[in-house]
Amino acid sequence: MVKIKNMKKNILIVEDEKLILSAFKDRFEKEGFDVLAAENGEEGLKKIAQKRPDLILLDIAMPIMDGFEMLETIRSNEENKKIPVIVLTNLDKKNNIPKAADLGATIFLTKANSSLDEIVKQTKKMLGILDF
Amino acid sequence: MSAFKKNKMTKNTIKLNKNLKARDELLLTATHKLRTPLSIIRLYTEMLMREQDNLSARQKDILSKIYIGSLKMADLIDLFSYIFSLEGDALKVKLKKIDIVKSFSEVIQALSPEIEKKKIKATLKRPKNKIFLFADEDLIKEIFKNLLSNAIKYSPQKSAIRVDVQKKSGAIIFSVKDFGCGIPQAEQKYIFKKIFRASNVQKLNIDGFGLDLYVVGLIIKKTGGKAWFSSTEKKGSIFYVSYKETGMIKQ
Repeated sequence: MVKIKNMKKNILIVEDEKLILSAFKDRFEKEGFDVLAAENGEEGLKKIAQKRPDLILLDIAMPIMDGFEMLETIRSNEENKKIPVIVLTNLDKKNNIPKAADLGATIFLTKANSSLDEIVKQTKKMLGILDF
Repeated sequence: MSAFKKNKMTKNTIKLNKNLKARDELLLTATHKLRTPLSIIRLYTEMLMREQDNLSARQKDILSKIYIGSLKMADLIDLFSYIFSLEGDALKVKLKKIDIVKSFSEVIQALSPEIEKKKIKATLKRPKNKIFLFADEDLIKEIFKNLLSNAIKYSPQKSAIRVDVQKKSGAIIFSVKDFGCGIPQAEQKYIFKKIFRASNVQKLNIDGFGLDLYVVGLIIKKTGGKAWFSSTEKKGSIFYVSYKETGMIKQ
């Protein structure tokens, strides 16, 4: 696999389950990403203020500030409006996809039904990174 | 009935509905919560699978079985979550004008790996004119997907499956016909019951939870349709679904 050079991207993963966060972080770092991590929406917003990510992987059901509220805040800020957001959750699709889409999620994936490979592939696709 | 008795019955009904709503919410929360440990099992199994060069053949085999088990559990949790939403009041029926043949073609395409694996010849008889139904596309596809996947599951290799859609006497009727193992006569009355699997298919060791036709029955009940079938053991089955031309309704 040959990666295109000078394409090191910075992603923010917001996930309250430590074991899931650690698995995502480990894999994305192995793929050559700079990874910022946060365990709830409030912490996620602080990380964005420190360093604007190229893409956000966002859980929904989280304590303190959930993913919907964080997404709404991101989209209401002119600077962050266009950051692609992949919503990654285990909540049921039928009721939550429309809400996430309305709030500006770029795509919606179910954690229990998506492999790490698929999540990485979608992330790269959205960032225009090609693997050969 | 006295006013006192009537009042008591109303109070009991309100209490019962409240309890049912609480049960539905609990079941939906439970399925959501179960997905988190399942995600952890899946993620870490995948991580180990990427580093399996150092593992023995036996360890690789065990790892792949854990992974398959996690995928099956994810399917089962999805199915239960779906059934709970159908059984409860949470179901949202979004009606729009659907081109039935187009929707069914998409389902056939999605199930084509299973069709090809068994070398089955699946045909969709196209009506002369397009047939539209005012329906929830996800629900109508779910009905058809369950009927078709059941037909595939219980059909022998290199057999045929025929799908037909027609407009007749103010109704839109579709059917799925297979030449599989059929359903024993004595058990046909249980076919739309939850977790029912006919005795002849249990002997065949075919994967299944006995919920596909229960889901079909639930959706039909909630949307004002009708379902029926005829089946002969060792010869095959044909399942029919019909809706009034005016389309689905939310019951």
